[in-house]
Amino acid sequence: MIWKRIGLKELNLPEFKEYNNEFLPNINGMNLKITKTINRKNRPVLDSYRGLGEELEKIPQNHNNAGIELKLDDDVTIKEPLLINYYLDNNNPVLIDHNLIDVGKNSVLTLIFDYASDDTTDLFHNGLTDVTVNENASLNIIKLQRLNSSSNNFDTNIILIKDSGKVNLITIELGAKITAVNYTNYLHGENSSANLSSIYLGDGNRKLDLNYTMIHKGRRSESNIQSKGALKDNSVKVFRGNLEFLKGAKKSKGSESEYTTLLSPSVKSDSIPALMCHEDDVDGNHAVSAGRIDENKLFYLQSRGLDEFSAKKLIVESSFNPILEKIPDENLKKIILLEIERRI
Amino acid sequence: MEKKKTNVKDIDRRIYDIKNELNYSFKTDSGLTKDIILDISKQKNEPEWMRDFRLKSLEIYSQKPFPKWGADLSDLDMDNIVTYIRPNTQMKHDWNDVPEDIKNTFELLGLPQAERESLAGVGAQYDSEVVYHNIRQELVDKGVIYTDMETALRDYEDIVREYFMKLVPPTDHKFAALHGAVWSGGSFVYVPEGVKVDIPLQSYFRLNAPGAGQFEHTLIIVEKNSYLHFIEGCSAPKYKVNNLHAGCVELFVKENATLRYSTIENWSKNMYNLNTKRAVVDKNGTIEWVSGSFGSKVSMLYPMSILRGEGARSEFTGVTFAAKGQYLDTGTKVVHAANNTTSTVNSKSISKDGGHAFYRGLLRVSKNATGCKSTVSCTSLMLDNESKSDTLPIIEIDNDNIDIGHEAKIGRISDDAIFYLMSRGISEEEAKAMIVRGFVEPITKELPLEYAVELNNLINIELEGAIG
Repeated sequence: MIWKRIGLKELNLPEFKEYNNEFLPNINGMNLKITKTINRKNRPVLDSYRGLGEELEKIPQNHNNAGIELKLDDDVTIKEPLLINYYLDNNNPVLIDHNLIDVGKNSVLTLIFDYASDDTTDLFHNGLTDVTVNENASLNIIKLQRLNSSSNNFDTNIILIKDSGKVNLITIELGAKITAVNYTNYLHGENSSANLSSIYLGDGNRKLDLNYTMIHKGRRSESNIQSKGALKDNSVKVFRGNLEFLKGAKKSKGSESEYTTLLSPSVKSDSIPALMCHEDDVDGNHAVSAGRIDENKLFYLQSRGLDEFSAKKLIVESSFNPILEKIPDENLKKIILLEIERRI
Repeated sequence: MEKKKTNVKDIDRRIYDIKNELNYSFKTDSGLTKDIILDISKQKNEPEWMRDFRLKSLEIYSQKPFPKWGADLSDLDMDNIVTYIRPNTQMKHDWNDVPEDIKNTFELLGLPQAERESLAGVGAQYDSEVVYHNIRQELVDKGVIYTDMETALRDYEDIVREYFMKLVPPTDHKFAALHGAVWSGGSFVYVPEGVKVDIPLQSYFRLNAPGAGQFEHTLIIVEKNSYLHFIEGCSAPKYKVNNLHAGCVELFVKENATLRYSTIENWSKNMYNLNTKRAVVDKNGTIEWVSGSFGSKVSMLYPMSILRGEGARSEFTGVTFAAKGQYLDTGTKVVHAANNTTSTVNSKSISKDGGHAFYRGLLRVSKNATGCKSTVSCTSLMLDNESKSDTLPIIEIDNDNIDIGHEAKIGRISDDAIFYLMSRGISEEEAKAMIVRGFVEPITKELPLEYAVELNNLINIELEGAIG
């Protein structure tokens, strides 16, 4: 069903191939354990899960060719972000990464995943990132996807958050021909919180299916989904934001907002923001808006000497800025800004 | 100190639950076969094309699957639903001629009184056939037609044939096909060009027989520069077996015309309400839906507006109240198919005692429809944590020249609001009552006065301590 809206009728899965590029981050002197993931099948089966479908999710569980297995002990703070580079090329055209991340109590960690590629055609990525954030721990994950425009990208993220645990997610979708991502956050702990910020850029014939879910089970849990995107040419986007409050999630708060800037008449933009509530003592809201660039803003910038094109670009870029500001890697930020500038 | 709970009462159903003895002149067997369809058609003395239409619909019905989403329909046993029941009376134009028991039912529902006081015309359907129909003479003189569908099919066959199930074809979904096969009763309204009908017309549908289905068809055509307000009311007493309502409403709003379609639906809680309503609006025309869903066990109801003329407008105001044992899946669909069309959706839902209110909506902007504006707002109020409340609005945009906004909120009565009102010298009880009344106010103010009063009575609030 997830494929109806982006018009994907069937998917030819590529043959399994080895992936030999190096991806483990440099952890010199850091107090943590990290290894390549060997086949792991166990994954917590959690309630009310809606993802990309069993077929795609089974693959990284059964036949991964890459992935990190990271365990951070209790009470450890890692200040430097860890950078995990996945690079697809002619010799490594298939990436199936299964990442297992466990952040110990009171620990702090930042991970950056960079999915990039060269110009080889028909690259394929299908990943699964399985995260546990223990009591009072704090985890930041930044995922940048900038595969080339002929590749297929599928990515599933399942995140379990325990008491007072915190998760900040930033997902930036710039590449691939078809990209379908799923982030499901289980706010099981009391006072747990999850923040998801997403930026996407659709141009050419790109198709994006973005699926973000927050499931509140713990009392006083808080979540926020914020998505900003721009669409031009013949791009197609589906945004699915689900806020779900299970019974017992008293005093919880959840909000989601989505804003899409439409830059060409032939774009297609679907939004399905769902709000499901089985507990009365909560505060949930969502807002979705879409439209052209505000004429007043445009007029103002033009009156200051910018041409229409630069003015539009500036407006879109500035809408991305609050999210980009949160990225703790200057180099990466520069890459993203250049890419956005080049493409709009 | 123990917190006291505020109690929002269920809708008072006493007058709706009055059952009459079953008294009919013709009744089909339960279930659905070709013979039953032929039987209905023969009883009604229909033209051949309608008989063939019914048979074709039956064919489509048997091929279509049940919807896979929304309500659980497994309890709905089609083989036990009686599709056609003719009450033992002919259609009347004077209440005094309507049989006593049927008249009493409508008397209790307040229909004859309303007709005397504030309506331009009234239709009353009892089980499968319309038993009463009347319209003020001055409207007849202006060329307004308001009659039951059977009469319309006989007297205005060419109009009916042109419009009948063109907007909701039997291929639309399983229950539209069912409707096409077994439809009976309903109202036909034709407002000629330039006529403003300034007092509302009303049709009331009452299902008395147990284990039966009601399949009335409402067809309204409002010609250029005309105005009409049409009110639809529905109710049925509760039986142990499940009843089915699969009506169909087709509204044609021509250039510059305005149609307001109000519904207060209060079916009993053994009713499956699977109704299809659709309006198509031409240039600069307006459709206004006012929809109150209070009854039924299961509802799946999404009035749809197709804005096909430039500058057409639609407005939807809906309130859904889901109490114990109810699953009310309601919402609206809007298709912007022409330039500069605008739509507004304002939906409110309340759920309590384990009731499940589900807002499901669709907003579509077609490829060549530029300059469209739409705002959608959904608010849900949960009165306890036994209940459920879901919101699922789907927004599909196919071009860049639009302005779309959607927002939804869910929650309970906020302590802050109560605190604020109390700080202004209002008692706690009154503050809460104000908030709940204020919550449904957008719909009450859209209704004719006597309905607004009734709605306020329906939701009887007993306030004592906090909600929640």
